[in-house]
Amino acid sequence: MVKVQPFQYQAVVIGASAGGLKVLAEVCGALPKGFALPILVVQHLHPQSRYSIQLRNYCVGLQLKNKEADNRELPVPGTIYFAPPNYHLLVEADYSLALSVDEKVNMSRPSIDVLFESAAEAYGAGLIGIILSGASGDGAAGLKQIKRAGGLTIAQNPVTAEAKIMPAAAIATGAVDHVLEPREIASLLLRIVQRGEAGC
Amino acid sequence: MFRDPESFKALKELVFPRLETYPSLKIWHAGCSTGEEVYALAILLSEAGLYDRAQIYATDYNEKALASARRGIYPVDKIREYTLNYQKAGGASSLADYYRAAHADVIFKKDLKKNIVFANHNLISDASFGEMHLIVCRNVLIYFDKTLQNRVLQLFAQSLVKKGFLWLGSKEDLKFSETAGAFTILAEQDRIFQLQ
Repeated sequence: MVKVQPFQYQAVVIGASAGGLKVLAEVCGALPKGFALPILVVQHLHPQSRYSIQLRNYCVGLQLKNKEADNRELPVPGTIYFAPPNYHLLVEADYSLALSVDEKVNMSRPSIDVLFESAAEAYGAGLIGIILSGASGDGAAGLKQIKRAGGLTIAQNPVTAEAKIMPAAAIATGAVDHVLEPREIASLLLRIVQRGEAGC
Repeated sequence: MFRDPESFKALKELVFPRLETYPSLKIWHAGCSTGEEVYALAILLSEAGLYDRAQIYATDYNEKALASARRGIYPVDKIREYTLNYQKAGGASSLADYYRAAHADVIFKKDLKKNIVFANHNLISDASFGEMHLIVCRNVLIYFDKTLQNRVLQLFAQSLVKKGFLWLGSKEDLKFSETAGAFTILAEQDRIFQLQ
């Protein structure tokens, strides 16, 4: 039985790479309109894909609002913010979003580690970090930071992932609280939020 | 190099024909960092027959970055990406025409540098740069807060000739700035604006 903490969370960060879009759509697709937390996503894409087409196709059926993150934007609940292609996405101390064109990290821009580490610093124990399918080690160090800051960490069960390397690398850090199938990830998120609304 | 190639292409198609009407050109690349995009612009200008009449001021506040921009030496392992971008930007020849390989590096040719002046300039504290026909400032404003952004955009408006062009990064916009009214939008997605 998965242990659920009292509602303390302020944001969800998700990292996805190869094979991750489908899972992302599955997880986010199970969340209702007005879901109580903002969701910040780094999905590795080709740097020249003008966001949108690929992502939007996946987002068509979502009940959550979704958009490309703007610089200095304050994320609001019930909305998914995607890192723009070729920019790092970071969370500032005042929770506003920031973009940067600094060097690639783990050969990626956007990098999952960059988002996760900055978000861990900003939100501390108020953060939920999720690593989905991918063929890179990006995100493992960031997830560890989230755990260290007191946040909740989740990895997709590699058995269910099209590319296992990324969730496996995250799990190997020993910092993952829950290893779950995509639909279980969504239901855990829902349970956490519902508990919160019940005032637990 | 050629980051956002579609936007380079838009610049070439929308702005270059208008630059052609000037006998001499002044271009300010503000916040040029290590110079990759300055050389990218120089290449496209040269292919359009505009380079020889252009004076390019490439500025940054960081001396170390400027030194590296002046050298124009970049790791060879980036060339594949640069070449693809160059083609997507509508490059007319082969990127390899513009550099020579040396060990693990590529060195951009002197011809490309002859009309580029690399200079130290701090957007936050230094004054206007004079009558520019085009100002390129991409992915610099994202690091500034609203107040600074407004101040820098005002500096740009003051530094352009009438009907001069401003090219920002793909996640930067004039929309909510105090200077928005001074410009018309030439290509919204490519962030190309024209002073009224």
